Amino acid sequence: MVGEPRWRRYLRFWGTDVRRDVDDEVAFHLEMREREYEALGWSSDAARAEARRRFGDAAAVRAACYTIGERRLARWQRVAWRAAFGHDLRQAVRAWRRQPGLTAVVALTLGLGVGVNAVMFGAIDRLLLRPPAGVREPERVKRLHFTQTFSWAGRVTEASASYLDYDLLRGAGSVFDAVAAFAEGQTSLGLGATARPVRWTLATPEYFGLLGVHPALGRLPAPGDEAADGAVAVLGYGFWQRELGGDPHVLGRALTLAGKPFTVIGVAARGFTGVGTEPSDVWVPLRGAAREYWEGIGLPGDPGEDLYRTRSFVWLTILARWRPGIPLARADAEATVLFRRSLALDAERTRARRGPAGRSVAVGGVAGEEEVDPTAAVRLASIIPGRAQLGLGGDDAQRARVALWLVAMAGVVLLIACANVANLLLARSLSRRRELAVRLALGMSRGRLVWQLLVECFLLAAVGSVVAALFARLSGGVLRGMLLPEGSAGSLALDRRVLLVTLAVAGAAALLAGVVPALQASRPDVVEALKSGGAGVVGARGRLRRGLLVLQAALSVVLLVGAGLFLRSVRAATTQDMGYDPRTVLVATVNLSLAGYSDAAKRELYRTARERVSHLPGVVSASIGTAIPFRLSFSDRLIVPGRDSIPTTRDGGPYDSEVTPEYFTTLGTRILRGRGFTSADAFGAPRVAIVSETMARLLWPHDTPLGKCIKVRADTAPCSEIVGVAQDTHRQAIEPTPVMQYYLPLDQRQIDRTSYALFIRAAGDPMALIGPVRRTIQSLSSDLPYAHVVTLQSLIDPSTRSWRLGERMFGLFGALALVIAAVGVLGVMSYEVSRRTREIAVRLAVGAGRGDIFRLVIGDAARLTGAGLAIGALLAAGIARFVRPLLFQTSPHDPVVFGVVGVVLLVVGVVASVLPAHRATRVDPLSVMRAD
Amino acid sequence: VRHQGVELRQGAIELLILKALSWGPVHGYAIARWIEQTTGDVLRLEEGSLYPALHRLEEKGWVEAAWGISENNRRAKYYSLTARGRRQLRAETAAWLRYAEAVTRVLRSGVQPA
Repeated sequence: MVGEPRWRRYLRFWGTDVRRDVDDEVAFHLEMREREYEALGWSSDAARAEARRRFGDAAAVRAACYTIGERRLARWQRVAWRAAFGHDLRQAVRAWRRQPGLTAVVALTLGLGVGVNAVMFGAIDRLLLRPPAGVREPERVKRLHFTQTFSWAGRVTEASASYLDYDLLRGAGSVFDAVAAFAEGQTSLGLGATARPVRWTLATPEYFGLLGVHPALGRLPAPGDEAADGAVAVLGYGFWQRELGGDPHVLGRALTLAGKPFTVIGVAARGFTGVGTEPSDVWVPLRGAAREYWEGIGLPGDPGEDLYRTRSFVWLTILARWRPGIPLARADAEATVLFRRSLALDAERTRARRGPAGRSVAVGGVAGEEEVDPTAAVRLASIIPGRAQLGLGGDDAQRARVALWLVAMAGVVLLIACANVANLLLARSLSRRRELAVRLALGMSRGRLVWQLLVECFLLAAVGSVVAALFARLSGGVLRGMLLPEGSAGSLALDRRVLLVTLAVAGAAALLAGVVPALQASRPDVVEALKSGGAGVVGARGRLRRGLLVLQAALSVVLLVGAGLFLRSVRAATTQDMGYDPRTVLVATVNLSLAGYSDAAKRELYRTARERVSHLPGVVSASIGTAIPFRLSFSDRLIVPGRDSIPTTRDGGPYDSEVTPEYFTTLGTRILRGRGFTSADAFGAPRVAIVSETMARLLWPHDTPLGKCIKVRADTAPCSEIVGVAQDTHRQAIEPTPVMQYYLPLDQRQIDRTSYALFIRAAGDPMALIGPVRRTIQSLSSDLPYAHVVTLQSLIDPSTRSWRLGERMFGLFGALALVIAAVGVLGVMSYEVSRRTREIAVRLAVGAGRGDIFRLVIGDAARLTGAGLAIGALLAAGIARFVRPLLFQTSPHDPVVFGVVGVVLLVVGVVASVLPAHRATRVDPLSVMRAD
Repeated sequence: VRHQGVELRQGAIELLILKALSWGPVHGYAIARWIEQTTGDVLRLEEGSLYPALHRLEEKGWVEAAWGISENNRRAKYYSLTARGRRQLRAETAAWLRYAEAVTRVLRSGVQPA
């Protein structure tokens, strides 16, 4: 026992080496015991043995002590680190609060840059990068892509297939655990006044099992289940909650979908909304609803078993659960063999049945092929939309590509923001040179100083993230609305993935923007800084700052040029003559087949609807037609006496439409030669027809088409005399594509299509007419399904979507970049002015005028912006090549766009430097000189 | 913890340690010696088990430790009670005595259960 607390002198906190301390302590104990026994006269061996015996298992004791000690040490270190970090943080907060204005600008800039990224990422993530929710092992679930070569379109890869393909692919049990098929679309829930649209998915029995979806309530159809082909329905969880209030007794309830009653047997697991392009509300068995689905699309007549036995209907997305351990290539090969078998089978069946009056139906531009195509192949694609889409052609890939461009753009905005923040931080670190020099002089290590500056940056990043989150919250709805397909708005809340990305981006941005200034700041020449009070030589740093400014300007130019190019594309796409006026025309359709109307009754109802609607105030004219631009086209056999064959165009055809006399004036399609239809072209009157310009040119290149004869459907049909030539119209594409079209009077029933649409020309705003038109139609009978009334423009819009998206996003980002760059110019010029105060004072003292000084500063700013402009223009011209496929009738080097951008940037640069220039003119030479 | 003497429970070891430290800072060996001498070797424990107990007490903040020089000029780790440790000792001593008295009274009782 020690009486005197001498040990206190040796007091130190817990030793750093836990193990050594424990070992020493145990050794000390054993040694003391040993000595005690030795003092009693024991031999040293005996003493040691007894000491050890009394101590027990020394190794176990040590191990137990190590654990406790290490645990304590770790905890202590955490506490100590937290305390130190807290100190640095408080220091950083103080540092920022000294310059609130600068801090606000920096946080705002960073926040906007990061915010744009967060929103972008959120949208792209949902749109493209994430597997559909609620799917088990999504990496094993594959969509099948089918490649074929068509004479008129070349090699095409598409995501849809026929029932026959599905039927045969089910035989690939050696490579797939399961194969399922589905089709999605919109239909009517209920009938009459309460009818409303819902999105439904038609699925084969394997669908839910394959995806690994469980029911939240009731059961889901499965193979072998009798209900799996019947009139049963599974509700989406969201739909169940939203439309039925989460009614727990919903099972067994009947829902009228597409005019047919379906019994609810289950509710799908929460979060599952299908694997298609848009979220689904209701699932029904494919075979139980196929007829209604096709009637809804406007299929004339009942396809019967053709739907299942041929490839005439390409309408299904095929899913497969890829068996573990099977090489992807083997699965592809196996599926390809089955697909080719399906093509062969289809050709055989079609040949067997097709007589001389063979009839083919083309819907959405898809038709069956006659020969088995040696290039036909199947590939397993991801169900993650972005990956799958890039493997396809057309709109899907376009959309995915545009989205990737947008991500790149968001990155550029962030880069500009970073350059700006770095610039402001540089300016700040220069003004703090004295403070930092003092700290170094007082013995602070350089590492510690850099660490503190970095803590300041991270604090900034944290504040920036908050700004970013706010920005994302406020603008997210708008931006995502532009990006995501309609109806999938879903939750706008920032989810965890997006939040993590935001934080990561903010951290990286802060590091990027903060590291250079921090390193520079840690290297001030102590003596120099203390002596001159910060006004010393700053050459290298000044160049860096000016370089960053030029970079910002250059990047802004790239974004603005992008915005301009897309703007021009949209203009070109929307102002071209489509052959009709999409902006003033409404299209109304109501699916009467669902309500069991006969063809005669359908015609009668449409006639009545046309009559009533044309008397509505604000309606110029109304007309009935059988084909709908951008939605529905029909093609049939056409015989031209004197010609062996009819030339074909890339997009197939010739396409027909049966119309009432007002059709051409209603849509705004001009009759170029001859006449339009009149009420005299009635049933029983001589058959007449109107052909499109392209058709006239291709069939009678050297002669007038007027008075010529065409025979519809069969050689035996009477002649239809061509009485007029109408201008070409865009049937399916925004790009002008030559396609043959002809029109027949509806009353003459030459082809007798049974799908109708009502076209309405509005005097003023067509949107205002949607409600009245819908109500008028719906009121005609209480058993009508939901009447869809949309503008013709809305049918076209999806095709121009990528350009409009590009225009808005590039515009938005460009504007943002411009604002950030303007702030940058302002900041840098202000700093330059304050740095050059002495020089300016000297100039003034030796006789320079205030105007000279003003011009000096403005000229400097203009030079910097000009340099940025030149670099940016070169950069943009280089990059624009890659955007070319995304543009519409616009050169990627459009001089107008480049010119306007140049002017805008210069103006912004000059305007932003007016304030600092003005301040420069107010320098008082006397006081400046005296201060030195 | 078992030896030729009475078995000692974990809690009891900790209590004995706290008591041993109540006179001032001592090292582990001294605690072992003190227990041995005070109990007249009745409570003979495996001396090694003192150390994990000491370290646990230290972790709980009832005891603090520092390296010092022992009476024979060797480096040794000295333990002393913290204020919280002292409070703990008081509370546990009271509880222990109450418990022991009650058990003793029962064992000494001549009255037969009804």
